[in-house]
Amino acid sequence: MREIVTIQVGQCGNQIGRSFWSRALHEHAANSHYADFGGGEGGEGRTGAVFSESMSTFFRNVDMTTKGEMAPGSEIRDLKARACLIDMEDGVLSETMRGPLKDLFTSAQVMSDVSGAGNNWAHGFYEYGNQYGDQFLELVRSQAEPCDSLQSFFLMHSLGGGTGSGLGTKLLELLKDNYDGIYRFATSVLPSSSGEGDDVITSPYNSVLALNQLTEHADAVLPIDNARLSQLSSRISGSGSGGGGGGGVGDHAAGNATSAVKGKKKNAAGKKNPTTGGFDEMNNVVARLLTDLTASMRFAGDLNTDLNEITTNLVPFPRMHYLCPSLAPMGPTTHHAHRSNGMNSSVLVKSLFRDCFSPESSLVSLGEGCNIRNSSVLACGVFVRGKGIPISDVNSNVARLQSELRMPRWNREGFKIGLCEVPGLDHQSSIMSLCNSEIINSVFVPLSERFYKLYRRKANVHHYTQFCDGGIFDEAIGNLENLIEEYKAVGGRGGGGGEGGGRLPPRGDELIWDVNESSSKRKELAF
Amino acid sequence: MPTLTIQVGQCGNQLGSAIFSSLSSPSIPSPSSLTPSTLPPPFPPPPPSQFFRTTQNCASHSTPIARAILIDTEPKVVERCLTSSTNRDCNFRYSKSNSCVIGAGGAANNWARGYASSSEILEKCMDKVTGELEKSPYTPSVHLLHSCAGGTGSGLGCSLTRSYSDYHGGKTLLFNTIITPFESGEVIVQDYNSALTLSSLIEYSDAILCIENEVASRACSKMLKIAHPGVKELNGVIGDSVSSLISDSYPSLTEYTNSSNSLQLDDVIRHMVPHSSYKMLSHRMVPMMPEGSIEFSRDTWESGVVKRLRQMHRCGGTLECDVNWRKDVDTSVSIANLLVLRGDGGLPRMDTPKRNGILDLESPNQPPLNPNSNNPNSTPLLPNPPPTQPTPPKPNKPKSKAPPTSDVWSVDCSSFSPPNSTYVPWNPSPFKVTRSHVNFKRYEKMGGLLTNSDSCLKLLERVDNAKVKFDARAYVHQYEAFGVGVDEFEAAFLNLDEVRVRYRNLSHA
Repeated sequence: MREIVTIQVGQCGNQIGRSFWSRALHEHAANSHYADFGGGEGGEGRTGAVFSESMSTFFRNVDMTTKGEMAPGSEIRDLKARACLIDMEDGVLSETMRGPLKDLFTSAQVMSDVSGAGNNWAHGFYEYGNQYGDQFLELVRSQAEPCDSLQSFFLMHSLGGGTGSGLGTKLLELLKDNYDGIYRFATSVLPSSSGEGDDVITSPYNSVLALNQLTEHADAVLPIDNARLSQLSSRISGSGSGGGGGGGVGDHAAGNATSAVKGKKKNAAGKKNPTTGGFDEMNNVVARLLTDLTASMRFAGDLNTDLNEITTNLVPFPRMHYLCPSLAPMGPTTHHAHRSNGMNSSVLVKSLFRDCFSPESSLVSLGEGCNIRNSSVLACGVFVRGKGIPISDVNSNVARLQSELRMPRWNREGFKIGLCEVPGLDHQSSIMSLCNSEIINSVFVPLSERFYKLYRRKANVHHYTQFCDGGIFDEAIGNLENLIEEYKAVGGRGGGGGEGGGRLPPRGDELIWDVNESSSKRKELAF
Repeated sequence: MPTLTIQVGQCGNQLGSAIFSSLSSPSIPSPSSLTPSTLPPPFPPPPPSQFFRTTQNCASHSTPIARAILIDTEPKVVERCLTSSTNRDCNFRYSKSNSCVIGAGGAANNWARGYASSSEILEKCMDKVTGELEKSPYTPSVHLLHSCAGGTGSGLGCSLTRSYSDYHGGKTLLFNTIITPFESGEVIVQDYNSALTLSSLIEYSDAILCIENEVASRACSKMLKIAHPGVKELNGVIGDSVSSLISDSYPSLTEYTNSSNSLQLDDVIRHMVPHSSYKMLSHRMVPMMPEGSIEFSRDTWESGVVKRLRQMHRCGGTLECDVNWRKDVDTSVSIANLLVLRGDGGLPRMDTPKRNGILDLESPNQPPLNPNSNNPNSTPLLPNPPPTQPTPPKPNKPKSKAPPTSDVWSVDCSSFSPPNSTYVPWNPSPFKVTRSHVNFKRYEKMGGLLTNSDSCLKLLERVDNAKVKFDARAYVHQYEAFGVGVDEFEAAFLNLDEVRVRYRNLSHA
């Protein structure tokens, strides 16, 4: 009914994709017994799982004998992911196609090369972009055409390398030109902002050049920090493993994917948590973010939230579309289950909110002493999953947050709320927030510094100028600096360490913001 | 005359479900008003036929079918409405062919996107409407339910309102019930959406009943003592208050009209909106109490219902818990009021000629109105209009022993009448009472007040929030993409400012 086509580009994108698809399968398998309301699923028990409306967001149901597309409500024959798998090396892709998820994809959904983009954004963007542009559009068309009402494209990629960042952003541009009106969401893994553990020398170049494109061509970007991911994953597994990953997130296919694929047909309820090390967890965190993000459009709830509502609500100015995600609870599953046992809903919701808005839950590394409470927030989305969470508890927590957060005068009530009653896989109740706020500067600013460190000496620039004019560097860093200033200006006078008089957002009138000023003077119309 | 309900968007559909289940839920005669010997067999009263129809072809399904069209841009909520109405404990059904999901992929909380729906979509919706219209011999009045915060309900709702008034305007009247959002939360661009909705409805609708989510939420927590009200409880409260005001096909009586038939939605609109510049209605209901406390309440009509409503009206508050009892001067000037009194289980009194034409529910020489358990196949609906024949009250009825003041027919409502209550000078008959002896749900005595007064100003002032946002030009690019640019925003603000000034001048005039 309302579909999302996923586009995973590069090594990192495809590894995240693997985790994501495994998780999506598990989630739908676990929820196929919610059949009796809404989902359009008929049979409970084992008499053949039904391809539900909610599954159709991510999957196609194909009858392999007739090659026919089957509508929601039919029995599951062969689930195919609505995805385009793209990489310029074939290592990860062929692993996927041999791995436990191989049934989800056909070879027609894959586009690959053998040589790789050499961690060079320009190679990916210009060389491969031109070479594979048409083939890509054909690939997208084959996925978009069977859709009833295509909602958005999901791009998964990293910004540090060459393929994901270069080709990925090129594809975004192509999508914008060819599918105007369909929203483009990008989940972008940024190299760790300190540079620690980052083994790609040119990653600041690649990231800044890619951000330049994302600012212009994406509708919303969910930035994720690689360093942050590895911290989180070691916290989740509780083992202290992890450590800095390379340019991309690591490389272990979700071990239990097989059971997921089987589970989809058997309504398997039993499911083991993956306990393998850091990389799995890292990918899993991103996968959880993406499933939570789309939960409210797939499953029923008191306040449904479509993806396109997220852009409408959280993006007040077209360029400022970086939504920093946080997830809670983040700790080990058992710990939380223990804690939430016997809690009444208001205590539970309160603790979820507290966790979610603490710096530890953010998927973006926050700078020293920077947190959501001392940066200015343009707009914030809160998406709650779980059964029986009343709107009143959510509202009272949002009201409290409002008094704590610094928000611009014109967006004092800048909260978007979603309630989905189908819980996620790991927790009975969970919460995800997307924050369009100044805290993104704690990613952007160090990144631009690292960029200048290289660029001042013009180090490695010649690798890029093989493919393009060197002016793109100045354009890109200029664009990023403008964006940094725009975000600072939200904080504007009196706040956030911004240097006064920063550049104002587009059409910006004054974005003064002040916590205690009562609502603006009422303009009255003389009669 | 029937009423067609159109539910648009998530909120509209959830609320519609609540209203219909409230309309169709049996009213339970309070035990205190009946002695055991005369206790009639528990009966479900006929749901008001204004809102329901029966299936002619299959006799086994005597469940009434809601005259409703369900419209949304995504399938989940409509589907849930349809399936939940097939539950056993549900007293009505939705007709599946009357639902309409337009696969436009949602309206993205964007009024402009919902409003700019293609003519194809509108046509599809209007086809459903026309199809339902053809099922009844009269042209029904139309009741549109939607929120004004989101995109589908507000945008598409307004677009439907406009095209309905283009097609059928003048012939029938349009009543919009809109839910205004919490002051914060749910949707960030709700101020924009609300402003655009109100401005558009003021132009095309005939009457607008505004219900605030905030008030419903407080009603849940303060009056009904629900600690953590969810969306379902909110809708329950709103559904009850809306249905208490509009459900009126029971034998009832309206003063100042000589009509013996019940008050129809059309009459409500004509009475409440005597001047097309003033269309904003609000409502109040007494009592609201937890289910468990109902049978312990021993309110009298005068002090328990009318006086409380009067004071609420005087203070401009919508909830009883907000009432300041010290206040004794009207702060607000009303254009029109409608008082609905229902209950006490007593029989209609037939002592004045004006009050004839009342159906005696327990009179043996009348055709049975309700299917009893031994007659399940007969239609549960009232014939429309009910047969009218004055029946003298039976002297041996125990209820006639009740003190006269406890009787809904003799409640003194003069405190609402013109000299005692402040009205605009130009409306010759600004006040009506409608009474019915049939309980509303389990309430022994229920009073509802629909009012058109300057108490809507508070709501209109919230438009200022939208202006602040607009001054920063935040989010405007999203609306521009669908044809609502700076000019359209400014026109909407101007439109609302005019309404505001008009209402404000009521008290200065």
